Amino acid sequence: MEIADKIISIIKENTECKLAIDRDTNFINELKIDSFGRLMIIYAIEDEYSIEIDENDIENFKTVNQIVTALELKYI
Amino acid sequence: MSIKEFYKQHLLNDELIHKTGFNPYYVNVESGLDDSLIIDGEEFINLASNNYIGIANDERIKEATINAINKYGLSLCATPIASGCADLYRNLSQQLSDFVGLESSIIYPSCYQANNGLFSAIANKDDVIIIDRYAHSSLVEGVRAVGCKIRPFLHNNLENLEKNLKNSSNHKQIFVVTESVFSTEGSIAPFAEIVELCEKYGAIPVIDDSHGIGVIGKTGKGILEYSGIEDYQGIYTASLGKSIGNLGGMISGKRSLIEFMKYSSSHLMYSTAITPAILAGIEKAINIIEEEFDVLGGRMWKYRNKLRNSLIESGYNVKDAEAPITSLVTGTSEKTILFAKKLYENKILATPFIFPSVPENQGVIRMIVGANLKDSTVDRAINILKEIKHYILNNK
Repeated sequence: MEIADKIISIIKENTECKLAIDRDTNFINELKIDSFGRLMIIYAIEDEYSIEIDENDIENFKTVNQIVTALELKYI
Repeated sequence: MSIKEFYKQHLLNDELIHKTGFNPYYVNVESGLDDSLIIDGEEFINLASNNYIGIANDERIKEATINAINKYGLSLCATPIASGCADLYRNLSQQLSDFVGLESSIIYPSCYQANNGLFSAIANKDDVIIIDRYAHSSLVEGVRAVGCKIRPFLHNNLENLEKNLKNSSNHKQIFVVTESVFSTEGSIAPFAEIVELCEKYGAIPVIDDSHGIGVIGKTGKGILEYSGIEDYQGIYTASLGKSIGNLGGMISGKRSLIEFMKYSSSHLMYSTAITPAILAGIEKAINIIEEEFDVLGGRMWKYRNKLRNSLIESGYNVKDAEAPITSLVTGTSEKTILFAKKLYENKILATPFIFPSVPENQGVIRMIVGANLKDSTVDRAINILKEIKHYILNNK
């Protein structure tokens, strides 16, 4: 599975979101994911890839694309 | 920043109040919780209070409270660790422990304070706290204050909880925090299974039984009785301001931990102690529950089932619930407030929950029918709800 698809699947699983999500969906403005929802997504990604994401990076994650880019550049 | 800018930055966003022409919060109550409630001089049917078994205005509790005022005055004007600990405090602590089936308890001025203070006394930065994502603000704020890793898990989802537990083994202490009854919708945590998972992964369970104590379980003793849990090894908290009909919050558990908390929980040690009159009232309330729960609880469940079944038959979208809480699904914040307004115009007081208390567009109106209401009052509420159902059903 591509990283982006994996991230979308993690977001859906951890927020029980039934809306369509693509690489550019803003999960704060469009999906209204709250701070706990964001934490759940981040920890699920960390668990999936056995990594630890920097808190400063987490603040900037608003779309799937932003997460994928950061993962590819810095973490995996 | 100038003073002017400071105040400009802290202004209430009251757009929704203006848009709907209604503010359902901070209503002006002018009576006790009788069969009717007086608001601004008018009689209302009260479906908003957490007075589940209807004892908040019980004459016997009022008498016990007045007697305590006559004996002790209004306050001991001290923290419990200093000279604020009345003999009533010790007696009630033991009575509450026996009631829920645990070794020892401490009593805080509120459960918000108890939940806030708990984690700062027992958890550290290198711990992890796994918490149901819909847990109450008092737990969330308490957990956040520790500064440790917080792993929210999907609401009442054991699979998701276990996944989080599996990935938390590198932490020193692991806590699993949840509520018994989730009060917005009335779901009940699968707590026996949660405790089993905690045992499997070496985690400490923490349960907030605020809407369970005096409500669920065969004799009203709350989540541990309801779940058939004996010899509970974890931590228990509960509000004494809901079914118990008073004020305050308790933390219970192993005697050694409670003794530790007495000397390390700043929220307890440095707050003026809960007053003797309140303690006497709670003591009487527990006696009443022990003697009369079958009658009071029976009436509470009868009313809950009557209201719930009637609303479902009428076509309302009612949230699934195991607890005596009936929540109507109303959708957006605006629709939720508008339906609360409609109820208010028809002299029914209920509790609207809107974003951010619930997820966006998942507003609900919560109704709790206290056992203090008359049968005829419950029937009247149901008839009114049937009459105005078109308002919500057409407002999709």
